[in-house]
Amino acid sequence: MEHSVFAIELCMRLNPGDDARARLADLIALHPSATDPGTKWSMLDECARVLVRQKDLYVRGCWDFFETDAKALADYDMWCKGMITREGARTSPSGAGDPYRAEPRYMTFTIALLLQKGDSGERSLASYCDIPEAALWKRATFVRILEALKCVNFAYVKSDVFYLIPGEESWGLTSQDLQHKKFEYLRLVED
Amino acid sequence: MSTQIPGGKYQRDVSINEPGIVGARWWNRSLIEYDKSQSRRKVLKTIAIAGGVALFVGLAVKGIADAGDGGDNEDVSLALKKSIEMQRQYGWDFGARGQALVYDGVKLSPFDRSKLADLAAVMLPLDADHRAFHRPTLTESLGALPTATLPPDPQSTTVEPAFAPLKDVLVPAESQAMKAAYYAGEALARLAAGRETVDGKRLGLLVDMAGPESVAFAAGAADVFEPVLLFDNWPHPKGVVAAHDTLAALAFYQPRFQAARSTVRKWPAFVLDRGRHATYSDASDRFDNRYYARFPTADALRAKGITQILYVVPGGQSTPEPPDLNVPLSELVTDAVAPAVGARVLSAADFQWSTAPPLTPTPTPSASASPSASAPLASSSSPPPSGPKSTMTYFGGRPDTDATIWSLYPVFKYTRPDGTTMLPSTVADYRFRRNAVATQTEPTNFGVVGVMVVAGTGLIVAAALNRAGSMNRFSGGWSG
Repeated sequence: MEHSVFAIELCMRLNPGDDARARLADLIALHPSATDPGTKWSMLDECARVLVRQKDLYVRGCWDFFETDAKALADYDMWCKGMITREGARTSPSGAGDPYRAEPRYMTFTIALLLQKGDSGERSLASYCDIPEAALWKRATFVRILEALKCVNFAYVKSDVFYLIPGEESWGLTSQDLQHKKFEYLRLVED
Repeated sequence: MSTQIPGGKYQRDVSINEPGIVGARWWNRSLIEYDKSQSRRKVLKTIAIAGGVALFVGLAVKGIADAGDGGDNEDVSLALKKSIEMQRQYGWDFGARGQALVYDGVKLSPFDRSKLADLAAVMLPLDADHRAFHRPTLTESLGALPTATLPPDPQSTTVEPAFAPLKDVLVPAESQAMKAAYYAGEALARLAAGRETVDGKRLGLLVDMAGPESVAFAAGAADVFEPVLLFDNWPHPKGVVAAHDTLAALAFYQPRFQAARSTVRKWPAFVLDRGRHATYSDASDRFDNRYYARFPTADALRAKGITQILYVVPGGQSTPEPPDLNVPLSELVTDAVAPAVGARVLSAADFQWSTAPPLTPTPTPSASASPSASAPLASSSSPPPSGPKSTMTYFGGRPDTDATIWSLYPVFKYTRPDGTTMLPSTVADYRFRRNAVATQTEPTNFGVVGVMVVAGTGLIVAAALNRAGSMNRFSGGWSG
C-alpha cells in the first residue's frame, strides 16, 4: 500500500469565554476508543467546522500534503511525535493573561491523516491542496482546506491523530512560547 | 482498489488528556488487515535466534512466515527505541507488565503509601539555582500513567495484568550499606556546617555511589547540602540498573528530606547512581535503563557561583571516574579560559564510626536529624538505622583525624587544630585528567529497547524483551 499524508495545524487566539477550545477538547477526549469510519468522519467534520468558525482568530499555521510514500510515513510519524512527546505543550500553567493588554493566550489544533494513496477521497483532497505558492498561507486557504476535509473517506485513512494545546484554558500558550524555535514551522497567517 | 475494503474498524492506541495537551491517535484495523493481504506474509524470527537486541542496531529484520499457526503474519520489523520514551508511553513496566520488583534491601512496613505521591515535590530543590540542574525523571515515574497501549497478543492465552503505577507497588527500603552512607553524609554536613568557603562562593557535592547509598549520603547531609537529583531513568522489573532500589531509598528517607526543607541550604549535593553504566551480557531479557549523567559544565557551575566540587565516591578503589563524568570533571580543573572550578575526590569510606568522644563539643547526630526519628514512612516500631547512640562517625574514624578534613580538602577558611592527625588519603590526591576516548555523548546502544513495529506504519506492537515471548503476536491481527 502506498500512502500520502495530510496535516494541518492552526494556532489561534484563545479568548476567555470562547467555548471552541473546550469543544475541540471534548471532540478528542470523548471520541470512543473503538470507532468506525462514519463516526470518525463526523469527528473530523465537527473539528473542521469549529476551526472554520474561529477563522478570524488564526495567527499562525501550516498544512502539508505529501504523496510520496516514504515521506508520508516519515511525516506522519513526526506529527504523531509532536503529540506523544508533548513537544509544544507547556509544563506549567500560564494563567489567564490579559487579552486586551497584549497578554494574549493561544491554542493550537493539529490534525494529521495517514491516507491510502489512490482512493477517490484522497485524490480529491490532493486536488484541493494544489494551491499556488502565493496563496499557501492565506487565511482563506486554511479555510478552503478545512472545508475540503469533507471529502475524506475514513475507510481509506490508515491512521489519524488529533491534538489540542492546551488541555485546560489556564495552560494556554503565550506569545513568548510561540517565539520558541520549536514553533518555527508555524507560518504567519496572511490576509 | 478502493472497493476491496469494506467499512473499517478503528482502534485508539494513544490517548493523552493533560492540562497542557489533549490528543489521541487511532489506527484503521481494516486497512492494516488489507495491507497484510497485499504483501507476502512474513513474520519475525528474530530474537530467539540472535539472542540480543544490541545486535540489531539499525537493522530492520523481516521475518518468515510461521507455518506452525497457519496464520498470515504482518510484516514486522525490529527497531530500537529509547527505553525511557517507551516507558513514558506504555508504562514503567513496558514489556514486563505485572512482574514484581526485587529489592536489594530491607523492606520496612507498614508505611503511609499515600505520601509517595508527594515525593517528587519533596525532592524538588527550593533554591532556584539548584533547581536548574535537577532531573525529576526518577521521581516522576512514581505517578506516571501510560498514554498508549500495545495491541493485545492474539496468541496469548492469558490476560495481561492491569497496569499498576509505581507508587502502588514501590516499598521503602533500607540496607546496611545505606546506614553507613547516611552517617558519612551526616558527618560531612557536621564538619561543613557554618563554614565559609575560601573564595566566599558555593561548594557542591557530587555523590556518585550505588544509588541507594548516594541517596542515604544525601539524606545524612541534607541539613547543609540541598539534594539535586541527577537520576535519569525509570525502574523496570528487568532493569539493568536497579533504579527501584534508588527510588525505594528516596521513599525511605522522604520524611528526612521533607524535614530538611525548612533549612536554607546554599550548597547543592548532586546525587547520582554509580550503577547507571552497569554492564550486562545477556540482553535477551534485560531492559536497558542505563543513562549518561548530565552533570553541569564548568561554565554552568560558575554561572551559579559554584567554584568547588567534592566528588564523593564509595571508597579508594572508585577512581578513575566513569566516562560520562570524566569530561566535565576534568574540564572543571583544567579550564584555560576562565578560573577553574576546584574538584577533589572524597571517599565515603573515610568516614567511620567510633565510640570515642569528640575533641571539642560538636553537635551529635540529633534525634530530629536521624531518619528514624523524623517520622519516616516506615512504622515507628522499625529498628533505628543507627548503632548505639554513643557512637559518632568521624572523618578518619577518630576524633583527632576528624578535624583535619579541611586540611586535606582546603575548600574552607580553616586552621588545623593542635593535637590533630592528618589522615593519609590516596583519593584526596587524585587529579582529574581528560581521557581522550571519554565522551559525554551517550552511545547509540545505551538506554535502548528493542520493539516490534508493523512495517510501514510505525505502529509498535510489542516489546522485544523476552525470548520466550510470542514473536508472531501480530499474526492474528487485531482482536477485540
